[in-house]
Amino acid sequence: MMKRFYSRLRRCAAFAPLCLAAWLGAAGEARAQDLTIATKLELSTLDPHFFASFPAGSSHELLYEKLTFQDANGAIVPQLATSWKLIDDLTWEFKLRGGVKFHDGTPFTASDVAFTMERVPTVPNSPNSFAQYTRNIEKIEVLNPLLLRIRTKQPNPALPLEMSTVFIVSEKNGKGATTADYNGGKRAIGTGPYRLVEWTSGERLVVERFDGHWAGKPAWQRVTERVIVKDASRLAALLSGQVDAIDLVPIADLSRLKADPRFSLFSGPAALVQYIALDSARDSSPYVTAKDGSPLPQNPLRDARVRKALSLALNRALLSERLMEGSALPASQLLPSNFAGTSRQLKPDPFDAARAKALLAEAGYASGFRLTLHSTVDRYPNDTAIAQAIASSWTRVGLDVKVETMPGAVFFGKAAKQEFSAFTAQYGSDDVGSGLRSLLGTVDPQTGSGSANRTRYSNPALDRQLSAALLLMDPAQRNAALARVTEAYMADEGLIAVFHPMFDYAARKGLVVSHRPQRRFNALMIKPGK
Amino acid sequence: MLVYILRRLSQTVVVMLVTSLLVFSAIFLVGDPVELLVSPQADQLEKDRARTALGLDQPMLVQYGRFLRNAAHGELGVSFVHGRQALELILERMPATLELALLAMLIAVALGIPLGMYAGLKPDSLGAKAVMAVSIVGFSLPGFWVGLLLIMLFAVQLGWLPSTGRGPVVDYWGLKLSVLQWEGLRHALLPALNLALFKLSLIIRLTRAQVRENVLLDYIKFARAKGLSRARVLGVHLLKNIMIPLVTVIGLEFGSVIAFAVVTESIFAWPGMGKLVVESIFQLDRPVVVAYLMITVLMFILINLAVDLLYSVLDPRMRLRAAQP
Amino acid sequence: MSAPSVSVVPGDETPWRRLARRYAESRLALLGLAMLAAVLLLALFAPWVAPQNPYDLGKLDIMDSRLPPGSLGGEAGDFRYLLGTDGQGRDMWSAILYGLRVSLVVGVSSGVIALGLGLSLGVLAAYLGGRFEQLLMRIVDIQLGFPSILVALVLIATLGKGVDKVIFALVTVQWAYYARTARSAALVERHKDYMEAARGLGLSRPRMVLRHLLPNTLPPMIVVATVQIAHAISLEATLSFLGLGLPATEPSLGLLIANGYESLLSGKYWISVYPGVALLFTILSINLVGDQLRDVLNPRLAT
Repeated sequence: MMKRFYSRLRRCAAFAPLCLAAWLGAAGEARAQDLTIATKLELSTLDPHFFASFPAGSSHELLYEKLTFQDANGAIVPQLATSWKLIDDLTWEFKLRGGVKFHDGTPFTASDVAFTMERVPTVPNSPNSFAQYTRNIEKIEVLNPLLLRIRTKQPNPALPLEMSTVFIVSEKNGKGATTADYNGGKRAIGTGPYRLVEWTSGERLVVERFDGHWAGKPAWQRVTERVIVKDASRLAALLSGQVDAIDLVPIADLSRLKADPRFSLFSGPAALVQYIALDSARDSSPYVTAKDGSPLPQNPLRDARVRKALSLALNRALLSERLMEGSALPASQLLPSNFAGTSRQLKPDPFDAARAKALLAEAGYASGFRLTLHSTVDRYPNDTAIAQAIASSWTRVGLDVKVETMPGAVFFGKAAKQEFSAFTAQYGSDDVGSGLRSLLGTVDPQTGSGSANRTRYSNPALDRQLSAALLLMDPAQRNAALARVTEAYMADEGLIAVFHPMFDYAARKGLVVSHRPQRRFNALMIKPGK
Repeated sequence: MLVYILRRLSQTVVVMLVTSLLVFSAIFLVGDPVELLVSPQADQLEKDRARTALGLDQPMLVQYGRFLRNAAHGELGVSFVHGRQALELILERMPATLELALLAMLIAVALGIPLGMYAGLKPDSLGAKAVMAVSIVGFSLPGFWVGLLLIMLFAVQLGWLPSTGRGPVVDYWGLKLSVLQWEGLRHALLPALNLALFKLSLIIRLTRAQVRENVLLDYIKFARAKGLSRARVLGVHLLKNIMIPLVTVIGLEFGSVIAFAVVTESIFAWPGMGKLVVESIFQLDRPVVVAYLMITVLMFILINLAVDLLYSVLDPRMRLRAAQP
Repeated sequence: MSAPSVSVVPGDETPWRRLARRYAESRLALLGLAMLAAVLLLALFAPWVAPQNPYDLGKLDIMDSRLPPGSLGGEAGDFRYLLGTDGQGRDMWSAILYGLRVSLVVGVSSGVIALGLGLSLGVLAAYLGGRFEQLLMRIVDIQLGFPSILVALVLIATLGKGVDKVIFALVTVQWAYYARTARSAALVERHKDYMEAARGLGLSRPRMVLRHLLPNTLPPMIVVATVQIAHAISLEATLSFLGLGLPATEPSLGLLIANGYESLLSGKYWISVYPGVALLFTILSINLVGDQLRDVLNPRLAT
């Protein structure tokens, strides 16, 4: 009996490699109109008003839409609203798009907008609420199903921008619906180009084409968004053919992908800035001492010349091309220059170690001083390496620099408590005005200014200039004024702008990815093409 | 025996309370969840609103008191990030981790014990030396490294297995599993192998050590002298006596596999509890971390209780009463 | 602790000589000893052997980052990077030598401290039984359930990063494991005949624990210990991978491997593979030596 078993085994063994390969390699046939992407963004809810986060902002665009939309240059363009105008300083009028349907067939009308704005502040347990965008709304008047007026509590030129963040839900479907109802799937109904098929939290989102969409047939029949947080794993998924496109390609792998004929790379500057914040507010700073460890009579970082020197010591071109492998753009301000409100005059500081040393000597620190630079670990691509490179540059102009890194969970709490002297991090802004106000405005809990100003940098004159600029209702005047204010803040060395990171995307040949400066990655950005 | 079990179970409650308090304090010491969750443009008003909404404006002990009151009703808190019951989130992801852990332990035990016995019985053979060498590699290389190497080899280069993710899920009377189908098993093989490698090495070495010791003992010689077959001597007598330390280790390892499969789950994008908890720790999503740790500690307690009970079955010399020195 | 072997060889051979002779019976073990000696010497003399000081931020040049093995670079353009450079421009060979020191210190000290702590507590628990044992085992249960990640995160948040903090974190994570294993081994030993005999002889309690129970509990612990030292070094690598390990400017082998992780797929293997080979070499040597020592010292294997 054993003999027969063995002979049969031997016969099977001959075919085994073939069978094995066939079995192991078995995979379903994917249709050409289906798209599978892998993203680092992990969606945590299907309720469009629960959490104003990057993952929600990215994936919810498939299912829901907003009145206005912020395009790749930061400009506000129509989406569910076709046009808008100011009636008076406190009233905006929005004309809505006709012929728009929700996924369940209900027509979209102004009462849905009113319902949405009422719902937003009532969503419980929200860690980052959309109410911050609707807070200024006093009343919504529905004039007719496609026309509404929004009355604000204070003059608000930024209302169209704020409306580009709030997803509109249907009044009929959404009445009484809780976050749990939306997460369950049946109530996740919007006007977007795709409708929900299935959502597995932390794993994948599957949507299919909504044929009744007002803009016509969306590009894909079925889209699967897979969550792969680890960069190397996400890249491996692309390389092994499991997914068609990925976001945030690891910087070390860019050159290899460029050379690979199976894939195409796309990139563009992000609405982010890698910056260095220096403690210029206090007379004595915890991590700044003389080189022998003894305290200094004054805090060198209070001297604008020292801050300028530290900026000139950085070789931004080298950092961008070598360290970031071309995935960065040297920066002079908070947003890349294609954004409205940025200054075309400002240029990134050149690399001038000699002048840096001269400035330090002029300020009285010819022999340098000791400084600790703090940074996060694994929160931004290459963050540790960037901090070390900055520290290296400063060491070369005579300082004694230590680098301390810590996880983001620890970092931000400490930074907010002003525990650092110098730190480097990234900051993202929706637009120039709000960015300047949060990052460089004097900290004032009443007005809400300076909420991200961790070094408590303060220049009241510039604050007034900024407030005045923010109140200008005419876009052209506003942008010009904002550009001037930016120049003033940068001249005062409020912070050191190092570079704008780029977002890198990779897709298999035959797909084209359109870049967006906001942190998004979804099927709306991907089309078939060369 | 019953008294013993009851006493252990009552201690369990105390242990879980202590654990929950430790976690509350730990996260409190690390940082401020609100700083991580609100957007960079959020102003002070929004930060304060978020703090109140998440209950973080109260002193730590008040928050802990509220947690205890809810826990008495079976609610272990609402996740800050997901807005859902923490317990529900964890139980939703548990089957994924369990099936991976069980597959890994299966691989480790099914390969480890036979290989270890072989290495112990023929310690000078080439095969035994090869087994020991491979076992050393198995536990000396960090798991995340081996994981990526496995992906690079089997998925990217050879294309035999999927690189990441869980396979299609089938609902078995409410329990959602993937490994019982071929496609699901394909997805689970690499991560299970990655998880199993360390345990496999440990089991091989421990089995070999125990075998080498016991094979010299009198009872083995006596059994052979009695005329029992080699298979019976090895399979029954020897195996039973080496099982005790082995069972302890396997018990401990099973617990650690479940609790700490975090790295493997992260690398293979396996949607299990481990990935959830490591992300929650870094996001300071306290309710999820507390709920998870309470479940894990409970699991360790139950495993250890089971192992202790198993001792008395395997070794009649051991007693479960208080010791008589 | 005296070598508890039963030797009938007459003559003037001291126990140490006997140990050395029996150790040398295995050629593989001698190889392991040579490897370990090489590792220890390299680690000890790293500052003199290494061509570059990888901790000196002023000397690092980004222009030299990610160069393949054998490339030329440095300020004068004549420094040969034997094993290439990493993402910071650090010479891999120097970084590995310094990293070896750190990894050994971290792995061995945390392993030894955890072993000492866990072994003594576990044996004591098995011997005393009763309330003490129950209390200790419940503490062990809590400790086992606590992820090392959370412990490390709390330590970093409150104390900052550093070699001593990593050792502390690793000890807190490992001691419970030793304690549990020691207790189970001691429980088995406690009921064996020789303990009855000792009791019958009227030996004092400390004497029974220290000279009889402890040495016989040791052998299974040694297997676990050699594995655990390797595990400690590996665990430190995993913590570094998650950003919770040593400071980035003074990397251990584990941190070097973790740093090079991203480069594996891009073909720049040297940033991760060479530290990995060094790690493997080190752990292999520790275990070869440990294996033979355990076999030699184990009274139950004496034939």
